[in-house]
Amino acid sequence: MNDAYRETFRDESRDLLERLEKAALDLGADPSDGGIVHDIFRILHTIKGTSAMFDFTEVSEFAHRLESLFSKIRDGKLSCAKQAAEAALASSDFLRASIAAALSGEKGDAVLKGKKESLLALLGELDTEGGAGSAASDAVSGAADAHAAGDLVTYRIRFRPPEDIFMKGVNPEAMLRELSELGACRIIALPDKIPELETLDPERCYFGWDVILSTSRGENAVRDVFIFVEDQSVITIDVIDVHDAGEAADTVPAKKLGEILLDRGDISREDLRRALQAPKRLGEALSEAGLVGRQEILSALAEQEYLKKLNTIKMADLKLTSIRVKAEKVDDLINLVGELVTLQERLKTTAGRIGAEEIGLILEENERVVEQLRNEAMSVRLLALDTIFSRYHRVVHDLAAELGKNVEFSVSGSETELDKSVIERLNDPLVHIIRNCIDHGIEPEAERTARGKRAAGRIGLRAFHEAAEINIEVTDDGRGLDRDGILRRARERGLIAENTTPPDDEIHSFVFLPGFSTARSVTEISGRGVGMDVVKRTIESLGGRVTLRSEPGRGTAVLLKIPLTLSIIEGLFVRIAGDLFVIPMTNVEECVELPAGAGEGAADGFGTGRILTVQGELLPYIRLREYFGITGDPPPFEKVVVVRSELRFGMAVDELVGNAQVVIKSIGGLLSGAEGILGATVTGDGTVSLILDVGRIAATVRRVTAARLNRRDRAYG
Amino acid sequence: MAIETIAAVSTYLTFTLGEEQYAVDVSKAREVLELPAVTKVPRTPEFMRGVINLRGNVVPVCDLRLKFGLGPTGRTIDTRVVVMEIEYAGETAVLGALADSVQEVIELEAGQIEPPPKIGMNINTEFIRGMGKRNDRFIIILDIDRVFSPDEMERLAKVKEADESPQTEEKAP
Repeated sequence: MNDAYRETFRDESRDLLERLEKAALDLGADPSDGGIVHDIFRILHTIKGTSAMFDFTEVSEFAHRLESLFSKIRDGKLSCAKQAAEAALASSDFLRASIAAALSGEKGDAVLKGKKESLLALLGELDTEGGAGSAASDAVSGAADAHAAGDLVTYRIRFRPPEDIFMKGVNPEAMLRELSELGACRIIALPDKIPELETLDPERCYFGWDVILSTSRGENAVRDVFIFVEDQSVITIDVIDVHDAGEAADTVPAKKLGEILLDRGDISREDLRRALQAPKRLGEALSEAGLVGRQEILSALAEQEYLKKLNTIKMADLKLTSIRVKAEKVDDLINLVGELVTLQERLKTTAGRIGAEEIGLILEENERVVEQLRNEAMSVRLLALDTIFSRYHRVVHDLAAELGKNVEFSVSGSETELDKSVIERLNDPLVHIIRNCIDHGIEPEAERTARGKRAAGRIGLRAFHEAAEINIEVTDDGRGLDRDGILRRARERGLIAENTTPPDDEIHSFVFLPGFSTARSVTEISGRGVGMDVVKRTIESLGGRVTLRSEPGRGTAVLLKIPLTLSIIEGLFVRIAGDLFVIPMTNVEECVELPAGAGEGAADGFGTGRILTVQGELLPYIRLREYFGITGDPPPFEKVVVVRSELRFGMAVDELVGNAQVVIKSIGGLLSGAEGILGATVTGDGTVSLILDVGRIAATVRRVTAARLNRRDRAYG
Repeated sequence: MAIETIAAVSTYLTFTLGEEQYAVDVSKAREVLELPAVTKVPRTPEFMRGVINLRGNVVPVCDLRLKFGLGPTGRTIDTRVVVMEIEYAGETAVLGALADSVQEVIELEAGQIEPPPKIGMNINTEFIRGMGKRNDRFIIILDIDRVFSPDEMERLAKVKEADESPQTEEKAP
């Protein structure tokens, strides 16, 4: 088998199984949701089809077995949706394992076989048990929903409200508007019932409407619009075109006017045959013969026109036009665009220098296009957070079950998009934080009830945009951080003096210190500290920040702020001994003047450490010249950039130059040992500037400061 | 990595470092550039001269003369950067090497190449694949992957650490 196909199959089946898991969990939570049943059915159907294509008969047979169970539930023949959801969840694990085995060319081992047997037995049971209670009242609602959400379906809707609809306080116009919000639609009024003026009662509605609507929301959504008037109105809903979301856009065959009228039942086949013989255009012939009303013909013509347009509408539907592209190709594209951005900058600089005004104008235009191209190219790399968020339902479900906790998990903003490479690296920290919430945050049910809280703990995962950053927040309503425990531990470790008590947020931030969490006192009481340093490091390596809020007994919130893309950042340019360096803006807090002679061995709490007073606060700082071992004398007046990473500190530089967006480039494996350097960027004049890794520099500053503290302790102790 | 057997006829790019002629397998060399502006990367070995902008990509540049202990390469009208693709830690890395001048592309037969002498060489013989002989002059054929092997880089990093006292750490009072 072709490897490329294999790979596609692996990717696709992984996606499908993730969706299956998610849907199974959703169905478990709400077994009456017919839409989910339909989703599961479709997912299984696809798994069956693709695995059969690859001759993975074991997989396809099993998927078929499960699929037929769900098809019975969908058709209302079985009512065991909840149990089926559990079975589907268990089956997704089995399917994943057997697909992996099939791909590697192995025959499934004994464990897998045993698993299959027990699952098949379970499915068999459900099949017969549910069958007995097929008339059960909790049968899935919308079981007869022929076209559930997902497919782009075009409906022909004829709606004739009762004439006294206004008396009932219903506005048909609002209903039409509601319909048009479901998707692309064409509304044709049928004015043929309007009486002569003298008999016309302005408080009655004489209109009817034909609506052609394309929507992927399902027939139920369409019927829901008419829910209050369906008893009194004439409502017919016909499907005139179904488009499977997973298939390539097909085209709707053009229909003749006669066929449409025939479809609608506006005309009999016999009448049509006769009218067609008349040497006139069909519409005219029919109308003259009085066989069909003028409105019907106009409406049918409108439908004909609409169907022609439908093909274009389909192309516009994002779902239908998505394609799979290798990530490397996109990366290459981004690299090329990055080069283009740099070249554009150079052109501009050069044109400015030689004073070529005419070229300048063209360049301005070019700049706009390049900018657009860059944004577009960047957006290609963006993926919805759903790609990882969808996994966490399972994580929460399993872990809560394992720890015997009662947890409700809610997700919002999973459609928020983020750079693909960032998303991949977010997974581990997020799993870690969520685990912490369940393990340490949420109290056991008994304890919660005793405290007068809801029995079920809540964990929320929320993502939202803010400026050029994505915020991801994980909240729980558990017991919160153990402030006193942390304080005690911090004092033990000499991080704070015995008799001082820093503000709460500073206390909380101690859990991010490496090694801090290993303290038994903290892990056992609040526990939150486990591996939070790893979370922090990962997020910072993505150019982001982590903050934490906690209220005793009320819960904890961990907020991750992550830049939209990894490859472009806002940077502050500074100069040190003639070379430009870039400090990522996300780290920069403020810039201050370094007083002449400040910190030259000034004695203070940190021994000989370099300390600066900024707005009344003591701030440790380093000279980047010294840190990088750059020789030569600094200028008489240096600037200090105040940055925040794991601690707040200052970095003295020769000069501030300004800020700009920079494209981050790797400096390559050969130079990966370069400490304190995150990467490099190509500036407008074509030279390379280095981007500082503030997190790494902060680690050094902390180490040095801690070493001094120890020395001081020894000196005084 | 075992010393590769040199095929019957191979093509080499020759260049000079000081008075000596050197060569690398032409399949390793990607292009030759005039020396652009180089940005020094702090806290890296001295022979890593820094990074350059190669059509939007950032490429490290090394000074082979410094690497081989022949003193730094100056900037003259003939100075060139030979951009090479080397195998580094299982991946292809792009690297620029400074040369006092770049000469030509030549073909050498297996018979024209001798193993490196055990003694009397300026540079570590591990870096040499063989000695090519042409017009009564010797050409040192470099095994460029070995010059920049991860082991070698690590060794240099360690030497550097031992040499330097950390700059951020001040002396205790």
